[in-house]
Amino acid sequence: MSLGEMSWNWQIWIDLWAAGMAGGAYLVAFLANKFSGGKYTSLFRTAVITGLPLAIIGVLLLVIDLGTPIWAWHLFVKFLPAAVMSMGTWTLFTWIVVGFVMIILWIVEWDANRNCDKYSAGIVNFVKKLDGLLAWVGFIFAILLMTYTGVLIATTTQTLWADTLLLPSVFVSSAIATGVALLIIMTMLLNKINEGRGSGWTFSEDLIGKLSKSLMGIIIVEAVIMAVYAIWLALTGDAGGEAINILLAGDLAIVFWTLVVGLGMVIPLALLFLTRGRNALMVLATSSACVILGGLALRAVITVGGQL
Amino acid sequence: MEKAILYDSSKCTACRGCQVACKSWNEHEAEETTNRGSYENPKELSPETWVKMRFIETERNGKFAWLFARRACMHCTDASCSIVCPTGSILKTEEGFVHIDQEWCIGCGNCLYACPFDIPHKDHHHTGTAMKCTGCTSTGLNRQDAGMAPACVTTCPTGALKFGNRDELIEEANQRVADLKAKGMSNANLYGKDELGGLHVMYILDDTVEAYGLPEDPQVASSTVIPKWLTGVATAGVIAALPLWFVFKRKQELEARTKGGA
Repeated sequence: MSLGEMSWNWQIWIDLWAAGMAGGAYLVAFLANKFSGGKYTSLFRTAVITGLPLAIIGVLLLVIDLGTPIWAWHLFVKFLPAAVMSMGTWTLFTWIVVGFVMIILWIVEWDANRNCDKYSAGIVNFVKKLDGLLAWVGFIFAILLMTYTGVLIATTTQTLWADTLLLPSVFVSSAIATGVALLIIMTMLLNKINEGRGSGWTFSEDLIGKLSKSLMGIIIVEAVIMAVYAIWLALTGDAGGEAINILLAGDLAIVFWTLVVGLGMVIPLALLFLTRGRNALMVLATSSACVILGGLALRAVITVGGQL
Repeated sequence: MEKAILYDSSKCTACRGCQVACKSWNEHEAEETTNRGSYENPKELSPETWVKMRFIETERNGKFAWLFARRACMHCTDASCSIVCPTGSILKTEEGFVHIDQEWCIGCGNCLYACPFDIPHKDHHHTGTAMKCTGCTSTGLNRQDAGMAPACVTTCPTGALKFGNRDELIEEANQRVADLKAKGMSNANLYGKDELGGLHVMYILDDTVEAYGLPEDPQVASSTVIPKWLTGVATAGVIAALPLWFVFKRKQELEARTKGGA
């Protein structure tokens, strides 16, 4: 089957990648903030503000990919939990709404903080409580969002996608890796933009260093999960062996080895390892960009490979 | 009452009258094709071709032989296409036939990849929706509601296709399989009685399921959906929560303890 004949094309790869990365960035920033006792609120807010456009782009691409885009609203008439695409649509929708409400609350909080009266203090207090609750809701939906990207294509009868239980794990691990990489780039970018402005939206080297360490660990785990997925698929029988061979030695092998493994894992891992403990910002930015592009290549080879 | 179509491969001559009748009843256009070295034509099912005959070339007793097989929707009881459809537009009739509501299908393509028989096809050029055999239950062209058999069955000149009550057809098929075995076709079998909760298109095969290129143990696409959700969620916990806990909390605690000790 040629690329033009496939029903799930580049719009789907980008949706799976963008939505996963948005969920991954949210998850990482949320946990980093929680584990640090609320020290990294700006990181969490950066994740939400960066992730929302990504998720929206993903939704728009999904709509464009439909055979009848003007009937996309049919997706919102029923909630069908057994249908993964329905579940994913509602998950994306809820996550986006939660994100938007949180951003509005932050604006309200910022405005109230400027007026130091009793009334404003009450608003700030209420907003903080609601924001804390919504952050947890967003956390749960971020996990569902990342997982949905894998479960969607795993709930089929295509061998490469469906014959192991691990495709969602592969996509979730990649979503988290690309999410951390996105946060690293965003923190560095905001530091550059706000340099010397005294804005609250700057991030310490310590935080960037911690994200860098996390990225190294997550890439290693991602590589292990991918290896187990490939072995598992190969062991399922002839069909599984043929399916994984498309990636490892077949039509998509060059893309897989150079972009997914080389660019997305080996190069960033090597760069991060060689410059660990040093303030090598350009190397860190390059490594992060490689991880993000590798994540896109992973969605592409898996999506295309399952349709060959 | 559950109905079904019974296809008897041992009676089929692959005249392809069923293909033509299907196109005629559903007002589908002919497809331009090229010679691929086979009588089988067109190459695959499409939005314009809902039924096609397969010409499987094989050897029997050292001699060349044809195996003819019908390729069209099997109208599964546990229909993967219907389960994964995000708009609920793939419906089942009381008789057990599966059809796509063309007014509600959004053309997402999910059913294409969920079907264990690779049956639905998306009409990229006209409607943008998924298409497949409806068992002649399409709105406005519903033969079953009018008390008629599907067009393919009505036109079959050899009696290879039958339509009727599913239970009665199973009884008839079992008898036919026994007759074929008695005639020396030891691999004869009935396909579709139990697969996927019971198919509403059943096949009497005079050779093995594998020889006919059918899946021996077809699975519902969603059969492992819960473990797949769980592995994804568990991965989020293990891969994100643990390393981040170590980097952001554990190290902070260790640093605080070191400072406190000093």
